[in-house]
Amino acid sequence: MTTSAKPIAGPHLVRYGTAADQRFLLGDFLSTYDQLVINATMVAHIPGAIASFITQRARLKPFCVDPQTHAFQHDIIHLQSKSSRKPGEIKRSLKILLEAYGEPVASRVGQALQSVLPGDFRDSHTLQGFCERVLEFQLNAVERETTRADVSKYYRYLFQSKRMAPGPGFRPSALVAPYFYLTEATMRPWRTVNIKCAQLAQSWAASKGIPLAVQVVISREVLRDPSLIDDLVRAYEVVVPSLFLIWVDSFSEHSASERELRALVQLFTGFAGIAPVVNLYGGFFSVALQRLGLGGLVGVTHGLEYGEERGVVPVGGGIPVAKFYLPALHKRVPFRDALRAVRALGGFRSASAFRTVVCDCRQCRRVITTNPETDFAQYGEARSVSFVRSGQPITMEYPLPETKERCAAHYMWSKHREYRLSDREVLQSLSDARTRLGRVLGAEVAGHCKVWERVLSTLPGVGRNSK
Amino acid sequence: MARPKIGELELVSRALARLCADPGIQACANVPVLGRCVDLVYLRDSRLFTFEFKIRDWRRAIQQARDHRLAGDYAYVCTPKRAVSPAMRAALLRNGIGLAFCCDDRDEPFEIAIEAPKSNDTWSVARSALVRYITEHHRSTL
Repeated sequence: MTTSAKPIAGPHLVRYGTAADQRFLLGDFLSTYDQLVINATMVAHIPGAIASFITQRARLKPFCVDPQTHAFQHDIIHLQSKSSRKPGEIKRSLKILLEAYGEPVASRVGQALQSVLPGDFRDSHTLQGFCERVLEFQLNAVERETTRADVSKYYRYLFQSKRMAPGPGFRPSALVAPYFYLTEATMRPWRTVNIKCAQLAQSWAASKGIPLAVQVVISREVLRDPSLIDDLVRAYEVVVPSLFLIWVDSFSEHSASERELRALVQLFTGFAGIAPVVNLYGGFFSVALQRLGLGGLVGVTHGLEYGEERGVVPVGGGIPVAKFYLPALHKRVPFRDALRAVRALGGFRSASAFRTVVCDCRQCRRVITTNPETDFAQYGEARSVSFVRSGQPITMEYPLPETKERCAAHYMWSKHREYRLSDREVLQSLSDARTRLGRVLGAEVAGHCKVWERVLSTLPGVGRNSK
Repeated sequence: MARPKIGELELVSRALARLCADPGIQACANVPVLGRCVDLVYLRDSRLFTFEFKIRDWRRAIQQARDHRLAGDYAYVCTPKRAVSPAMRAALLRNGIGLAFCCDDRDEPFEIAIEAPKSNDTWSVARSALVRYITEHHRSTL
């Protein structure tokens, strides 16, 4: 049973990663994307700020909350604080989630400091209660904050003065069923739990008149076996949600092989046979699929930093380098590679040449004004920091905050443009990039264009749409 | 008796000390350039030389030195004296990188095995920043 309400507002979904992302999601950027995806940990961490962000500054932008229930099946070390003040303690935001989601995760993870196993969800009452609490948390993520004692007066004033109306905008556009991560080895037991969760969530969401999204998170190795993909899709046929949210662990479309990309399309197409599909972490390959009407994709989500792929467990941060999203390659590249590419494309000839062959977004128009060769440096400005690593003195460059801001703004405008490309432009842009940049930047940086073009152009149905 | 192995850090340190003994040279080790850390850079007669030291993995050294060409005038890979295979020579020439051997028994700290051509990749902004950095951080020890 599904509701008639739309689970997402459009194909361009953006993940609200950290509070610092806000400035690239508001103001002029607000109209560049359709929908927000917010992590439950963020809702738990800064609930008031999230509520005020959604209801006021983002002007009730449609949103949904990723409940991140998979967090509780991994090694507990990933949930523990690294701060020296609270070593070994479960992080505050996860503690709040454990409390909100209740049994079995509250006692197993919160008290015993053990990971949950499929067996913990065997009892049907426990499972039902867990599902309802996970959904309730999402449903009330914003609404409950508007009724808190310290802000309720303010919201009452907004309602009375008709500056804001309470109602559907306070609720997520879709509820996400609890879900757990599936690998080849753990597929069967966890898939069973996931499907039971989806079934229970389906009736609960329907009773609230809110569409249900079912999130399927798999390891990359599942893509190596087409029969495993078919099995997975078949198993989910017993649920009919309004939407599937797909996430392949640490899957970079830029470094994926042709075989893996074809398997990804198989995965999308399989689930799309049941319900529309959103790729929760996707790059331009997924956007191209959506633009070309392939794979049953109705939406693609990306974030601000490293947001086109993501591992299920936090990975090390590494040194942040200034990366410029090169529209020709549909990829964030180190500044030095961007420099070579802009030069090869002829973007340093003049400001107008830069706009024609590199980028004409609002941020680039602001930065590239007189001499593109020197103006472009603003996307790479850094400060040097010296330190000792393994006994060796090292000096590294760290991007300045304003460099990061320029790069992030340019990224957002570039993504906005990509979601509006016609199918002809999609394939043409890949072919151009391969021809013009392949030799300058080499296969490591530009090789994906050839692979993407080959996969996309040979998929059945390419060219049937003329957007 | 085999000589004790010398690490890259020691090679850089020795070369830096010898370069700095020449008053006409400004030199610096561990210099940040466009997200990379160049082992050694020196400025002589308004010409900028960059050096990537590697005891092994010359392919990686070439990859890194290729990026140095964006800021310097002449980019070198520097190794202990060794035989140069045809593959290594071809890769150096193809990428416009020179090859220098570390040298303890001459006036110069390097023996040039393959002369680096002048970089045609130099980006004026990065070059100016590099010159500024060397002028400010010029020193004879690591």
